[in-house]
Amino acid sequence: MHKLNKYKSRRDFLKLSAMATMGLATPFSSMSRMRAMNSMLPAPPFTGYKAIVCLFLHGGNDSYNMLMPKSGTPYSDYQATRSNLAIDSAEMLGIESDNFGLHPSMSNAQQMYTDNELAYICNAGTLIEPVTKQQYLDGVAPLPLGLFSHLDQFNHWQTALPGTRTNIGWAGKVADLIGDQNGNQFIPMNVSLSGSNIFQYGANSSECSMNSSGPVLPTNWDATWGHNPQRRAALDSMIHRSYDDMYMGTYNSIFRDAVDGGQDFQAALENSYDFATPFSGHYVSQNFEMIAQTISVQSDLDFQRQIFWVRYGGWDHHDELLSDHQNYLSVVDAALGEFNSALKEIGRFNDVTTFVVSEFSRKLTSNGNGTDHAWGGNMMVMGGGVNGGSMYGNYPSLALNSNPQLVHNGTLIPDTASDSVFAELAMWYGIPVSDLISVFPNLGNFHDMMSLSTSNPPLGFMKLL
Amino acid sequence: MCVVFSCMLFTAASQVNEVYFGAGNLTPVDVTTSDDHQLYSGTFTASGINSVNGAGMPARQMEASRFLAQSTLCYDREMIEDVIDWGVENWIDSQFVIPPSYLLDSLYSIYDQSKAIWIANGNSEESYPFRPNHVHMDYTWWQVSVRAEDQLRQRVAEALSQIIVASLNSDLNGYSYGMGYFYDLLIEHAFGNYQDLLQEVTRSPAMGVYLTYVNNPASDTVEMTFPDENYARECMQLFTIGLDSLNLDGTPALDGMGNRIPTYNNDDIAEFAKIYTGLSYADRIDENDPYWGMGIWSADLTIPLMMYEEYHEQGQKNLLNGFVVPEGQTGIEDIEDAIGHLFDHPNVGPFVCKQLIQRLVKSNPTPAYVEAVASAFNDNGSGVRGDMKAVVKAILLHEEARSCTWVNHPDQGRLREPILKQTQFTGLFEPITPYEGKYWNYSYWFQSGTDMHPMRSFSVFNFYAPSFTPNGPLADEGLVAPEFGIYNSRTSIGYANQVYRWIDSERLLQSSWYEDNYHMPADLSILLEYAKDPDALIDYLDVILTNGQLTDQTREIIRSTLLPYGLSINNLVSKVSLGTYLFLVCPDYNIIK
Repeated sequence: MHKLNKYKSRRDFLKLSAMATMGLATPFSSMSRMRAMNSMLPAPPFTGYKAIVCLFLHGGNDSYNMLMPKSGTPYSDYQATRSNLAIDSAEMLGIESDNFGLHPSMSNAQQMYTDNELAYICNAGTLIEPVTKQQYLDGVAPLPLGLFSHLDQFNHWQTALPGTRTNIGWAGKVADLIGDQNGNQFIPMNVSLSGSNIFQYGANSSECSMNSSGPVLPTNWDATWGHNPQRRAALDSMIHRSYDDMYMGTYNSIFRDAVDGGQDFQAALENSYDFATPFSGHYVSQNFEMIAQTISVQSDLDFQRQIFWVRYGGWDHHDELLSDHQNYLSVVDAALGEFNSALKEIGRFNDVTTFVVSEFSRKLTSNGNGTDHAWGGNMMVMGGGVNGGSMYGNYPSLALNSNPQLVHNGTLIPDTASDSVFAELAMWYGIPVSDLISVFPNLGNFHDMMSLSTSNPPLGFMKLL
Repeated sequence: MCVVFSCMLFTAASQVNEVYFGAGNLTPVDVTTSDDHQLYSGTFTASGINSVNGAGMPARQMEASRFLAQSTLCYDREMIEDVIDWGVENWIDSQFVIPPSYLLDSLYSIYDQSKAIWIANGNSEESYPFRPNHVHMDYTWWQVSVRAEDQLRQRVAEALSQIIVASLNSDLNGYSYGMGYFYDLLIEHAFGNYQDLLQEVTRSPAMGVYLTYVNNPASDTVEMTFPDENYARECMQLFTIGLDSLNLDGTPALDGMGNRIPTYNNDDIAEFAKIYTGLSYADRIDENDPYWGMGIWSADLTIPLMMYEEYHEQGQKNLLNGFVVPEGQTGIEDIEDAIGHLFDHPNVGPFVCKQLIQRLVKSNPTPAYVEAVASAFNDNGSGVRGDMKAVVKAILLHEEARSCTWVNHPDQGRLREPILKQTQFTGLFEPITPYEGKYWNYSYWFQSGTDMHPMRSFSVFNFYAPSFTPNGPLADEGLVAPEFGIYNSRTSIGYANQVYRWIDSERLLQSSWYEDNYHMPADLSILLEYAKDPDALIDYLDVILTNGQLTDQTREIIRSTLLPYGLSINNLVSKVSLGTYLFLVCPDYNIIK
C-alpha cells in the first residue's frame, strides 16, 4: 500500500507551511523558504503542459550519413568525398523531392518528416561566436575549448558555454528560472533516465534520476518480510525530523525529498497509461516508454513543465562505420517512432518536443573504414510543436575543394549555433525572451537580442505563435 | 581533549563518588560492584574489580576514531588503541617511516592470478582481457591501499588523486598499468615533495594520455596547427595555482576596486602549451622501437615519457610575471623550468593546502587554519618548500582538527566521501572469508549508486568542485560543502542501497564476473554480543562510527527500533543489521564534525 506524500500540491503545502511553526517537518532548504514566500504571491500562470526531451547520441553521430544529398551535383560531391563510406542514392529514403535522403534505417523519420512532425537543423554545432573558415585558419576567432575532444564537446552541448568549463547546464538554468512554478515542488522539474549530468544541473536544481523501471527507492522499501518494515519505519522517522546542524540538515533534506518524491512518483506510475504502442526492448526505447508513462501521469503529479534526458552511448565510430551506424540509427528511429505514437495515444504529441543531438559530427572523409571527430552536423527535432517537414540552417557543400565551410580535410565549421536551437526550444517551453541571455550568454553573438521574439525566432523550426 | 563521560557497559552499585576522572585527570579509580549482576548472559558482566583510569573510557576512543577517520582510508580497533597509547603526533611519525605500499607490481600479479583462476575454471585464455584493465585496478586498490599498514600515506594519496586527477574513465580505460604507475607517484610523493610530484606527473604517460599532450607537436604555421592547450590550462587551473590570486590564508587577493585578480590569461596558456610539446612514449611493450605519433596500445605506460626534440617547440617562452624560459634548452629543461616556476608561485601553498584540509578534515577551514598549513608548505621549518610531511602534520595537528571547541562549532563539518564510508566499514568489520586471501572488490555497483570511486572521476575536475555549495543554509551562510556535489536524489538513496548491500545482501566486497561475482560479507559477529543490550550496541557504534556525535534524536529512533527485539540469534542479527544500517545512513554519521 503506497503512502502518498501528504503535500501533493502547492495548495496542500500552503496548509503545511502554517504548521511549520509548530516544529513539524520544517522545510529546510532556502528553496523551500522561497516556495513558502511564493505561496503569498498569486501563482504565475503556467498554462497546460510542455516537455522537452533530449536524446544525446554520445560519441559523435556521423550525421552526414544520416541526412545526405540524394541527387545531382550535391550527391556526386557526397559520393566523391565520402568514398567507401557513401551510401548509394537508391538506398536512401527520399525527402524534399528526392533532393535529399535519409539513412536507409530511418523509415520512421522519413514518415514523420513527410507528416511535418520532424525537422532537421543542418550543420549545427557549438560556437562561442560565428567563425568563418578564414578566421579559423588564421587562428583569430575564439573557439570552443577542446574542440575535437569528446568530453569537452559533450559538456558544451549541455552548458551552452563552450568557452569555459563549468558544471551548470542550460536545463538546470531553466529549472532555476521556472522550476518553482511547477505544482509539484518535491520532485525536480528535470528528470534523467541516464544518471547525473551537467545538462540538468543548475545553481538551485538537479535532476531526479530514474531508470526505465521508474524512480530509485530504498531497497525492499515495500517488503513485508524480515526486518524491512522496521527499517522503513525507522528511516521514515529519521528523514522527517529536522536537524539544527547545517550539514546534517542538508544531507537529510535531500534524502527526504528523494524518498518522498520517489514514492509519489512510483505511486503515480501505478496509474500510468496502458499504451497500445509496443516499445522495443532496447534501453533507449525502454527509457522513452518510461518518459511516456511519466508524461501520462503529469496531472496526478502536478507537473506543468518537465525536461527529460536520455544518453545513448557508443557512437564513436572510428571503425566499422557503415555496419555499426546502421544499427545505432535504427535504434534511434524505432524509439522516435514509438514515442511519437505513444504521445498521440495520450493526446500529448503537441506538448512534447524531442531533440536529438551529438557532441560533434564526424569527418566527411574516410580513415579506411571509419571516421574521426569533426564539428558541425545535422540534428533532428520532433513533435507536434515543430514546424516539421523542413530543413533549417544551411545544408553545406560536401565537396572537398573550394568548400567555404570545410577544414582539416573533412570537418565542417558549423554555421548554425547550438545556442540558436536551444534558445528556440526554450522560447517554446515558455522562457521569456528577456531571460534567454541569462541561460545562453553567447546568444547575442548570433542574434540581435533586441529584435528576437516569438514572431522573429532564431530559426523558425518551432510553432511559437 | 574532549570531556565526555558516557555510560559504562556494566552496572555499578549506585554510589556517589567525589573523585573526578576525565578532564585530564587520569588518577585511577577502582570501582567494585556489590554483586555479579549480569543484564544478560554473555561476555560483559559487572563482576570483578574494574579499574577505570581513563584508558578504556569512550571519550579517548571516540577521539582516536575521529582522528583515524581523518587520517586513514580505514582502521581497526587495534589502530584505535595505538593512537590512544602513543598520541596523535607519535602515531603520525610512526606512519611516516612505514615503507610505502605500491599498486603497480601488485596489479600485475593480481592480473596473473585472476587469469589463472579464470583458466582453471575451464575458460579459455583468449576470452580473458589481454592486459590489466579497470577491474584489476579496483582489485588492486582494495587489496593493497585499503589493507595497507601505511594508512596515512594511502589517505593522503587518495586526497591528492582528487586534486591531480587522472581517471580510467578515459582512453586509459583498458590500460590500468598506466594508471597504476601514475597512482604510485601520488603514493610515493604523499610524504615527499610537491614539486617532485608535479615534475613526475608531467612526465607520466597516464597524464599525457588523460590531458592529451602525448604526441603533441610544436606549432606548424603551414598546416595552421598549434600545440594542444589542455595540460597547460589544467596544470595551472587545477594542480598548482588556480584561477585567482590568493592570500596566504586562502582568501582571494583583491585589486583596488575589490575585484579578484586572475592568475593567468589565454596568452599565458598558449605560451605554456609550447612547453608541453615533444613528449611521447619512451618504449613499447613489444620488441619494436617507439616512434613519434605511435598509439597507446603497445606503449609502455610505466616509464616516463620521452622528449622527441624535433617536435618540441623551440625558442624563448615567456611565462608568468616576467619569468623567461630561455631559448636553446632541451625540452626536458623547458618543462623542469616551467613546472618549477609554477611550483614557486605563492598561490600554490594556499591553493593546494586548502583542498587537502577539505579532503581530510573540514569543508570550511578558517583563513587562520589555511595560513598555518600554507606556511608549513612554504617552509617546513628547515627552509624547504613543498614538504608534504610538514603539510600533513600541520593539517592534522591544528586545533581546528583536534580540539573539542571546534568539533562543536556550527561551521565545522564535512560530508564524508562515499568511498571513505565503504573503506571505513571494511576496516572495522573486515570480511573473514576473502577469496583465498584476496579482498578483490569490483567497484561497479558502488559507483552506480554513489557516482564515485578512486581513479574513476568523470573529468579532470574531480567528482566535485572545492567551491561547491548545496542550496540551503550552507549557501545562506556562505559556506561550501564540496561532497554535496554528487549527493542528489539518486545518489542519496543510492548510497543507502549500497549500505543495504553490505549488510543485508552480505556483499560488502564483491568480485567481478571473472571470479563468478564472489562476495564477501562484513564480519559483524563482534556486534552480536553488544546487541544483547541495544544501548550497549548504540554506545559502541557511537564510539567507532559517529565518534560521540550521535544526537539524542537519532539515538532515540534507533533505540526504539531495536528495543522490541529479543535475545534469540535471529533477533540479535536483526538488531545488528538494523543498527548498523541506521548508523551508516543517518546524518549524524554522514557528516563528520
